[in-house]
Amino acid sequence: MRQALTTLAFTTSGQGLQDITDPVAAWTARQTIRDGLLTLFLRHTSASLIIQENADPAVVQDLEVFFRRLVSEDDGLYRHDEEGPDDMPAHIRTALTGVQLSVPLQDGRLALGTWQGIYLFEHRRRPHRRQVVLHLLGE
Amino acid sequence: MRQAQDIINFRTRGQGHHDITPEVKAWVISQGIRTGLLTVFVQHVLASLSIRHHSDRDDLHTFFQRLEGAEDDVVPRPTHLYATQVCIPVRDGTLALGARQGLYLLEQRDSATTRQLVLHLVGE
Repeated sequence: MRQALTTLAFTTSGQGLQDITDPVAAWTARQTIRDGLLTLFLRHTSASLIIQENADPAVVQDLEVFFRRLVSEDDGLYRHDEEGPDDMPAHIRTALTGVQLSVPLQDGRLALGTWQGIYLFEHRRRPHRRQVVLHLLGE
Repeated sequence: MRQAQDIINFRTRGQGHHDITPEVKAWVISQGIRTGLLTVFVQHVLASLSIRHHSDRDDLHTFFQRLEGAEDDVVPRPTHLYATQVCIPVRDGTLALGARQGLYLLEQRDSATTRQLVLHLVGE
């Protein structure tokens, strides 16, 4: 049994989902571990990680619209607003979706379903640099 | 490669969010594992785990109370929206949390309660 650890950085382009499956899968493949568990951990509190459909681009757009409606940017609702009206809603959206995923590795490949992709979900309006720690355990 | 496992108890002070980062981090550091993966598992159904910003607890609490206030059984309680289990990579002997991240135990009960968490660390 052995393990590998790295940190990947991504620049987001404002609120919405960004498919990070390819760079994550590429790093995983380079570790030459055939079977194991990959854990992804996002080191931020206003962005999150989710697994979502990668076939129809409308799905990720609809998700963004859904979260915008669910978590209002109404000025009067929050006390934590130092960084603007999208500040606290971004933290709530993160709390609802999570910053950690674990994906099994089978025969050297991520055991994702055919239509599944790994997405970095940016909740702030402005672009941000986001760090994802990858930990792979297996043999 | 080796592993360590332990159970730690927290005394919560009623409904709300309790920062458990210091205790969990201290346990990880004391294991002497440089690189690895920590799994935190809460053994209760009315308490859960969340990783979040250190200063946003009150607004989150208010948000979830508003969700619950909607008279609709399909609206999930916070416990269902949060996790029972979370994994955090260990780097340089400590938790690889971001500068603004903390690990919180969310208590649903009104009264003070003792909550039991299982910690599992694998690495070397």
